[in-house]
Amino acid sequence: MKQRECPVCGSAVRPENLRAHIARVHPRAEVKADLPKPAAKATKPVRRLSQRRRETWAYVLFTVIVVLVVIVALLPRGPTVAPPFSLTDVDGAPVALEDYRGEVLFLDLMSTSCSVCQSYTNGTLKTTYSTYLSKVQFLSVDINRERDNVLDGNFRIRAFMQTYGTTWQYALDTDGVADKYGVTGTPTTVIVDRDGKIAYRHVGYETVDEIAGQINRLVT
Amino acid sequence: MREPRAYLAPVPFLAILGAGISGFLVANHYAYLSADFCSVASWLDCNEVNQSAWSEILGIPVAAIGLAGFLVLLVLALDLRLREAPRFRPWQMLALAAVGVAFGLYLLGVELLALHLFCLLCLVSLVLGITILAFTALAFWSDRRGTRAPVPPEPAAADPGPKTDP
Repeated sequence: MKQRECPVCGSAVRPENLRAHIARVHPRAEVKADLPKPAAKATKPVRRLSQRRRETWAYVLFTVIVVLVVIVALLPRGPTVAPPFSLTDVDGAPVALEDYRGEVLFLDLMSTSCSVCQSYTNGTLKTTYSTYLSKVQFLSVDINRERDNVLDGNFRIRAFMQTYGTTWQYALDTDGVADKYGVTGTPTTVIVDRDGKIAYRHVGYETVDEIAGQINRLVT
Repeated sequence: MREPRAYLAPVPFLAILGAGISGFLVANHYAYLSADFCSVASWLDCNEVNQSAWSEILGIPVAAIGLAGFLVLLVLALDLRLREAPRFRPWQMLALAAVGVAFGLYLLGVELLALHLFCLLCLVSLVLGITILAFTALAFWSDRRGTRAPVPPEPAAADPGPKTDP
């Protein structure tokens, strides 16, 4: 192993450690000999800085992409003109969008198995229905996540109506209403104005006051 | 053996992804939004899980706790990755990641035993947490090995010193 002698104490020291040895062991010694430089890393910090900058930008870019994806996933989707549909309600009566032309329609796109729909029906819809019974038409459409046939679907909906004591019109989605209205989740509330345009649309639970604010805008 | 920070390279990306998923779940929880892509099957429905009675602890949504955890992990990972002299050590990050994974496993147990259905995004979040834990464990191990490396003995006294110096 290549070693050099310390000019102060004579110890055998590796050449690259000699400067550190003198500084540590003989701090007061004045050595003017040409000491070898410690292992140089002159270019490394510059390279690291550049790497870090690139890495930081990569993190920032990735964060922006993730945030954008989350925002897009949360955005509501759907048409502005209410798509027509034709269904049969649980009592066997035909029901179509055209029947409501000239009236405000409160369309509740729901699923009997969805817990939020259950609390929404019990907590908001029943009160809203009793308040706006004379001014607004109410229709709940079960989007049939269970893929039941009409008989089983209507049986399930009737049981739901009995459990929650609802008296307005219910129908099973047999006409692709969920797709037509771009339902991304339940409950989806759609309020169709007198001209057949979607005046309001909301996905998720809402309070009576929030719904009332939207209906009042259309019926007064 | 690579230096500890080398093992942490993927961790900020994983933490950002985890924070994004948790952020979505927080919005999903507060908006009572039932996202259809989450309702894959009757037993795989994050809407139901995220709006169940188990979705909050002391009034705080579990998704918000997850979001906070991923953000803290992100801060630690960025500190260890980008700072020349990091303020934190890998063991601190390892401890936090272990707590996060334990919390995720507890939630998985709730889904399995109490709710009998699973949340897809929560499972993805747990996988991200386990991956972060694995990379952090490697960094911790590397850091520990580096700390334990034999240190050359210091000279006992000043001038006249020993006859040899490493």
